Amino acid sequence: MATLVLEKLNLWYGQHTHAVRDVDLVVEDGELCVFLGPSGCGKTSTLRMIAGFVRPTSGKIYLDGQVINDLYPGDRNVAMIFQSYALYPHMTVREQLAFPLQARRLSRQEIAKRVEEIAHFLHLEDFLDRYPQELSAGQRQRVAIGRALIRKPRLFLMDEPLSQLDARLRVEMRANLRKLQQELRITTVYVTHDQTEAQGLADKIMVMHQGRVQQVGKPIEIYENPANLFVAGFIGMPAMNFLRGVLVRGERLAFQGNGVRLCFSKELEGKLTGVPQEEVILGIRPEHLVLAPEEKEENTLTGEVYVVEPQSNEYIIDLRVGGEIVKVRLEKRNLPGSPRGGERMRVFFEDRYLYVFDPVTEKRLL
Amino acid sequence: MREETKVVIRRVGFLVVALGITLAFMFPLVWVVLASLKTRLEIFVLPPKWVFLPTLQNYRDILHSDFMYQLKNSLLVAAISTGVSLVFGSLTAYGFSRYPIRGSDNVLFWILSLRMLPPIAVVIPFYLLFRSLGLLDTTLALVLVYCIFNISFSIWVLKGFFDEIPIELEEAAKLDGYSPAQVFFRVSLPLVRPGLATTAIFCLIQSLNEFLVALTLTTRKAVTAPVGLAKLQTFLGTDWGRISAAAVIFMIPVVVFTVFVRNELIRGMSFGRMR
Repeated sequence: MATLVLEKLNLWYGQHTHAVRDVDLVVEDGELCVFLGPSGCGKTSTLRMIAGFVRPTSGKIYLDGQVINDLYPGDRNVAMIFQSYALYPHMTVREQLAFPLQARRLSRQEIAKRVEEIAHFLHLEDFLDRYPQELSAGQRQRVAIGRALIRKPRLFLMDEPLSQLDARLRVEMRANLRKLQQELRITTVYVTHDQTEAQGLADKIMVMHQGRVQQVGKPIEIYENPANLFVAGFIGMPAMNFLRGVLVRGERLAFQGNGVRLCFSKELEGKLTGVPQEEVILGIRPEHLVLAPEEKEENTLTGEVYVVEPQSNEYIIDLRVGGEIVKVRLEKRNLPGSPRGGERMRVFFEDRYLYVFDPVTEKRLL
Repeated sequence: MREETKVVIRRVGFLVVALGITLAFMFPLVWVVLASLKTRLEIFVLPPKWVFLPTLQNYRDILHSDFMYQLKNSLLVAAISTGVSLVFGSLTAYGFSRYPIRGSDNVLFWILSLRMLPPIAVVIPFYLLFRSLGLLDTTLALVLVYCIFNISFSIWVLKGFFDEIPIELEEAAKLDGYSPAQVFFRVSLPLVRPGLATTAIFCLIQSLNEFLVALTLTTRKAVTAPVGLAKLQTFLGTDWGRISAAAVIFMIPVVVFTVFVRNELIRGMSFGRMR
């Protein structure tokens, strides 16, 4: 059990690639923290620094208050599950599980006992004498988990551990991992580019982009209160709609974009008056748009149905509003019938679901 | 023609061609084995005799000649130089494969270029060198020279095998608490066993067959089997029966070793599937 602290962590690959920039993070004891971001955002590099495979260019890594920057990977008591599982092809499952214990020079009896225990715990008893090549993907993953768990590490690192599984197994293993981690309360860092995984597993998410931390917070905070344009666009399926344009301050305040004109409710207008600049990007999530009653004018977008993607219980509709495409997610039971291409459609959003961003700094304004 | 008939014809055709190629390659071997069992007269009979009363006289003669001593020399030199080459080759190859080395491409090419040397170009300098060191006609001299050729070869072949091992396997072992040296011996080295087998076979054959250097650097004590074989051609004529018997005996160690490591060898030839 341990607390992990990253302080002003930087990593340069050579002279030109600044892979990780000024990362600060605290992962509390027993917490599961997900590093989330697109490929090349620096999340795996950060993980590799924590494991000790690469040395940070500057900054400090604390594990339980101790600086571990210069500690050899094997002396950190940190375990890792690799994307490829990294099972040794020349060892049976039993040997794989015993391998980390042999390094600690435990007695034969103790090793045998712990291997039996962990095999029982992960339902691997029947496979102990098989080689990894003879196991299914799910079994391999359980072996990888077993090898990591058997030495009771202070910290658990996982590098996209589910990405090699097929969709069904992935959902199943996701739940298993969550349960396992909650039972054992081992501090865990989990790297993924899959936001569903992040939302489902995390106590805390760190969103990264271009080597920088974009936001750290609970899954729900990241979704409800994105700190900037990147986080807002990255979290959510389908992605948030962005409308670029200017706020026109006349008698009533309005938004004028690429063929899109939008006026707001009184309350929202009051809030928007506080926004200093004219040029803004508005953000509205597809799931926050609902069919508007005929007489409604405020917070309402009018458009023409362009594409309809029926899902099991909802439609994802591309609405052409002026020169923009706005994605809308509508539940089937709220619609009279399937929308048809070319049909006129009016959708509106509640005040609290409008996000406003600065187009230059990309920071959230409202 | 029916589809099945076509398939059968294709199969049979393939077998015939394969058999033909195999026979062409096996023919000299068969000839040598037959000759080793014939008397001096029978060897020269035309048309050649395929059925005859075999004699072991040639083998008896060879077993009681210097050739056995020379064969022992050969095996000693080959075994030592192969062993040394594998040790240094695997360590060096691992270094080049896993650690960033400035200008490693150039260094690797330089190592390979040692093997490109035509032996005839260096055999005289070697002679002078070993003469001044007082190492002429010693097995040590041969071991040293063969190592030069074999180590460079081993480095190149084994580097390819080490490159194939996913780095995560070593990282996992490091996290599990093993030092870099332990990672090498417990994870990386066992995984390149096919590579070691392949390299060993080639080094062994190379050292056993080598003729030119052995001929130049040895006179009596350290003479190896290929040189000894050649010396069976004398003023008094060439005793083909005994030469054939010697050649057959000479083949045995390589065949035995190859049979021993053949599983590894096949995996090595088809280049490790590890991922």
